[in-house]
Amino acid sequence: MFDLNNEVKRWSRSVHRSRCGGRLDAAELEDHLHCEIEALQATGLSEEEAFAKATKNLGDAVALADEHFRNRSAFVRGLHGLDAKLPKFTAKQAGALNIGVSLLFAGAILLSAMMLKKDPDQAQMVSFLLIALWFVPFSYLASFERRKSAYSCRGRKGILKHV
Amino acid sequence: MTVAKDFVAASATPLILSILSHGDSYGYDIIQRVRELSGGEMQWADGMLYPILHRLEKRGLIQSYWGTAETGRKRKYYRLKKSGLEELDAQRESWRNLYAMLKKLEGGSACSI
Repeated sequence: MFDLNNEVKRWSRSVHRSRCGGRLDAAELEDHLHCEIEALQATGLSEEEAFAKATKNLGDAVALADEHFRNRSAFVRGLHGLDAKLPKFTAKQAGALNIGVSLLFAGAILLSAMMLKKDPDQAQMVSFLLIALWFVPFSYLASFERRKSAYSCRGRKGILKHV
Repeated sequence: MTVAKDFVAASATPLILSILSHGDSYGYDIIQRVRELSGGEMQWADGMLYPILHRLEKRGLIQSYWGTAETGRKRKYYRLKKSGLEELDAQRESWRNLYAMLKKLEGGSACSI
């Protein structure tokens, strides 16, 4: 059975997870959604229909993301610029790649330890360096897995869709 | 007649500040007021308003506080600060100047030989 409060909370959480809403206030978005739903219900729509229409009305995700982006610092905007140039993966591809990259780094750490067994200090330093280097692709690939969401921002027009 | 996107974006700040100069308000109410004032011609993407409000708050022009709606829900209200009122005056002046320029041009060519 359709539980409006639950659906509103789920939608607002998903907007944040999918990063369409950035740091938008969840409680503020939820209040807006409830106001819109009440107004639509007053025109004769059912709770479920009103919810679908209200989320669509609220969701020009491109406008939301663009506006939010302008609130960010120059440093964060710079990181986004870099992010746009890096390759993109699906959650499944990213998961598989992450395992592969992790195994590669584990192999490199083992190999360096074996090659530098006469100099444990140097071996330790190389291991730390490889672990630090491994963290970069790991974080990047893991971010694709976090982007999975019940609702998602899609397409150039960017309507937040209930999928 | 629908209002062009660029015009909507440029007019958002003075409109928000102007609405708040009449009293504290919240996001949904501000959107409804704009819709009413424009006779439905100006359509804001609902989600667009909140980042603008947050940016204005960051600039110190408005201040937010939490209150309770009639329904008992938590609601975020915004109030205009003194610096916001000054900004509103400055923006009104700019729009007035622009309007005066357009009005002069409407009467005939502004270029004299």
